[in-house]
Amino acid sequence: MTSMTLQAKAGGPLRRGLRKIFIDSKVPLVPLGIVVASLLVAVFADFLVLYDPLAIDPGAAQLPPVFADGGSWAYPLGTDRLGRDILSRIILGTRVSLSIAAATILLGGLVGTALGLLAGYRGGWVDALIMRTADGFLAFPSILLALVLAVTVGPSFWVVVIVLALVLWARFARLVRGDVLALKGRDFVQLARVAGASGPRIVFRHILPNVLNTLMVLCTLQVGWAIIVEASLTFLGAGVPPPTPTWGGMVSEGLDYVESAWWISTMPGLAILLIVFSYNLVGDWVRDALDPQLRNI
Amino acid sequence: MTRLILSRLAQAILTLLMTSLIIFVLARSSGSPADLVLPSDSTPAERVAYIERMGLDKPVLQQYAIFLRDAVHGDFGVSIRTGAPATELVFSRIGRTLVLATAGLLVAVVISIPLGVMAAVHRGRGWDRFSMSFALLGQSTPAFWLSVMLILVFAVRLRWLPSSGTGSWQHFLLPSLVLGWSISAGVVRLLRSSMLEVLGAEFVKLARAKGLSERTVIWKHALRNALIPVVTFIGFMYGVIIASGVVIEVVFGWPGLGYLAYESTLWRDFPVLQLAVLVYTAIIVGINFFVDLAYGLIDPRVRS
Repeated sequence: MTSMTLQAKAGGPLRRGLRKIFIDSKVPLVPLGIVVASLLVAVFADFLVLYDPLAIDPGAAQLPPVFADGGSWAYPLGTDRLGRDILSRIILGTRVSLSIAAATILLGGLVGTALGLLAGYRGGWVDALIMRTADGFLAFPSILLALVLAVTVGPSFWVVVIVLALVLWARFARLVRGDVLALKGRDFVQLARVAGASGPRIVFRHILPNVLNTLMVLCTLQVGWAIIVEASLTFLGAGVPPPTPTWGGMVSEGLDYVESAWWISTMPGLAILLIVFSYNLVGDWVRDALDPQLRNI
Repeated sequence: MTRLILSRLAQAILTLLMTSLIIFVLARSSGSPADLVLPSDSTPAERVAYIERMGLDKPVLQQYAIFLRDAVHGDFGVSIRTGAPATELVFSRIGRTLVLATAGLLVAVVISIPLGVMAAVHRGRGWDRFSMSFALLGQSTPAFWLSVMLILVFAVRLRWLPSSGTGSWQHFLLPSLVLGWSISAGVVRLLRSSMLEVLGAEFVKLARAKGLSERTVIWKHALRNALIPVVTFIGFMYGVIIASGVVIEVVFGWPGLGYLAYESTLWRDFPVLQLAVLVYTAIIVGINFFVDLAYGLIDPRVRS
């Protein structure tokens, strides 16, 4: 009962967090706008594409973008060596990249949070086992694991998600555990225990809500990381296989033509840069607004 | 201290075992490892011999024991592509990978220290915003794409630098720049907050009160103390840079371990790929081990 009143008085950690982000700190409008736009593009990609991103048109091969000599508005960012519209492929690539990021963060985040809560709350050998395993996965070179998977089971969307999640869960587990250890000693948790609350109740009702801020920061900051690693894997041929249009795959396809048709590799890379930079700026803002202590994530 | 060393050593071995187990399981998940390890033109007799030697007809646990026994004896099979022992191919590449990673780390340090210091000294003003944006931009730029762009500009168009390969100091410039910039964000951020903390400390006030020039106070007294947490972080970054060097080596045709691993993927040269991954993990785990120990020496609190 006592713990409930304390909890209520605090106004709900999530609510307070959102207030801190949107009211008490300066909102970075441009990056936030780009982030929102990228989500809309990913959802409505099918309606936004100018051409079928997979349609081959030999008559329109290697056309330059509109701002270069010989370019036209028909293909604003030019075409690749098979005459496919680059802008349309980037639009569809947005969906692929963001889906992988979302799936990775969901999978890695859920597993990592659960294990982090368990490790921090239980302590002892459970804690030691989980955290040593997490350390092991943090040291694991994910790109190389993806290469092994590409040779053994073949590259695919889910292979990328699993490779990324294998690293990500450890980051979540480590941070969540740290938070739980700090929270465990706080009065409201101690009071809940004295009041006879069960272990799961203390974890889910009293500790988890106070970890949400950290989780929110980590989630936003990992989107950019996930997009870049996914693009790198696809670039190496160990990510999402063609014909699915992906940013990393497009850069790689343009490599052999970089001298004559520079835009094939350049445009998708600029898309990655723009989106990842925006997500990172938004992530920094959320982190600084919620907790400057988290600076080293 | 002995306890710390032992626990970290156990940890390192555990990570390596885990890696080997993952590779072992993956090799069996795609059917028979014989398909992965033997050349496609091998005779049925060779196949039977291999299956017998590796115990592929025995229980999985026994197979793993055989795999580990061979690994301890340094037997990782022969390359499907060249027929040479995998160990020979892999070990000849380690040096070049380490040299490139070290160059990248140096670039990161050279970029990050002035930026981090300037950001802290001019907190909230132009320099701060510039430093943080510059570092964040490095973190947000896909390294493989930046490499392609730099090759396009400096090698293809301007013809100032070689586009790929190794041999001269010019070959180092572009790849180490890309590697260094890509990891500088974390270092700048950490140094900035560490500097901010130190600049408010008593001994800095004392140095100022003594009438030392602002430059001496910042670059000598404050920086020296602010660097302590940063040094450990940079140590861990060495492992990160070695791992992220795989893509860079591929783009620049740098004949290191990463390029070898990539080529092995193309050729489906599993014995070489498997050893390359194990060696990578061993190097990273080894570096982290020594950084942990160094940290224990610098900061006695870690030892407990």
